[in-house]
Amino acid sequence: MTIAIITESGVRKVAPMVLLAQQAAAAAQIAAQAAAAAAEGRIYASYAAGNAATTAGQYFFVASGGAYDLYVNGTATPVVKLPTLNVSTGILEITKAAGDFAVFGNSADANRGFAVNISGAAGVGLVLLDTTSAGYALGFGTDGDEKMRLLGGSDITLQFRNPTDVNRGGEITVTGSAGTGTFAINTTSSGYGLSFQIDDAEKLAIDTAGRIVVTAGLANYANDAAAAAGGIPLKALYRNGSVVMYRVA
Amino acid sequence: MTARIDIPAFKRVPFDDDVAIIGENLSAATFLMHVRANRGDTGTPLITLGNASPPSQGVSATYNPAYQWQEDGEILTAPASLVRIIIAEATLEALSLGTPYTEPVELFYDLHATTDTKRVQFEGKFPLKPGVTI
Repeated sequence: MTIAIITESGVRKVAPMVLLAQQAAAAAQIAAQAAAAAAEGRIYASYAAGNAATTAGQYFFVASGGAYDLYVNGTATPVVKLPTLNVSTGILEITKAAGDFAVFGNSADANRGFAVNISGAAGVGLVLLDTTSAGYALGFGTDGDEKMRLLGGSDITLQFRNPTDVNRGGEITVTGSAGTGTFAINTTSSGYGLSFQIDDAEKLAIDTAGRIVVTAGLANYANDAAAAAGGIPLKALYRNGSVVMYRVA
Repeated sequence: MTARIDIPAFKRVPFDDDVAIIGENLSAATFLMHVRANRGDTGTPLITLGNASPPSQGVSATYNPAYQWQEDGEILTAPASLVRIIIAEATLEALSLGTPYTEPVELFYDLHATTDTKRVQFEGKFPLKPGVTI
């Protein structure tokens, strides 16, 4: 055991402090190595703090404005920028500073189910496709087939598609904010019109020439009283022979 | 100036400690150390130590070109010689206690080291403590 150290400036009575100091130096070095290893992957308040705590090649996160950015030591530009991620009672919510980015179930708002890019705190649960081109649409399908499509662009166009017959489908288009609601059939064949059915039985049809066909036919009554007695409701059509009647009383 | 280092020893156990001397290489030096009741005594020393390799009784020195020690909270590194002094238990047991025997006997020593010149490396008191466990 070293009991003293003689230097140019005098005697240092250091035993057992010398041994302790060496032990302390080794312990400090080990602790520093452990701290450096533990520093990687942690979340820091700023890039400067994370960069100071880590060593070359180590990665760390920086929390900023509710989001988390991934950095590598020595590079001030984040490697990955992540949106805020909240997980509460099994509900996953991903948000951005400028509004919700994606929400899957929201216990704080019953109106939200699956939502993307909602502005404001009282948004309606819906799915939005953020697109800058009218050529891009949002499609929904089952069994690998697209069944419904919401088109982009300024008009609101909802299309229903029949995967087994491309000539059958439908389209609802609303033009502008105060436009007329239009229900249209998009067909490539002149043999297909628009059929209105109940329980797979056609009740009314509009053929490709624009003619309205009452498939089941109109009931025949002489007047409104007889039609009422026969079960025709007010404001419904019936016939008197070949004359189309409209029950008003 | 010669360093002053008091070396306390216990009567009932061997003495084995070293002193680090910064800046010198004494690995090839010739050592001689006497322990006496008083400075200036010229009779037979109570203890005589010469060069001897551990674990034998005597004085030896090793040279470390990168010796580290702590000073004012800073770890310093410099060449140094570690001068190791070993005194056997039997040698210490043979020394007489003072009066009263409960108190350490105040003896004295100094260490000569001869390289190209002969010098007293360090000197001081050699308090011999009576100890408790025999």
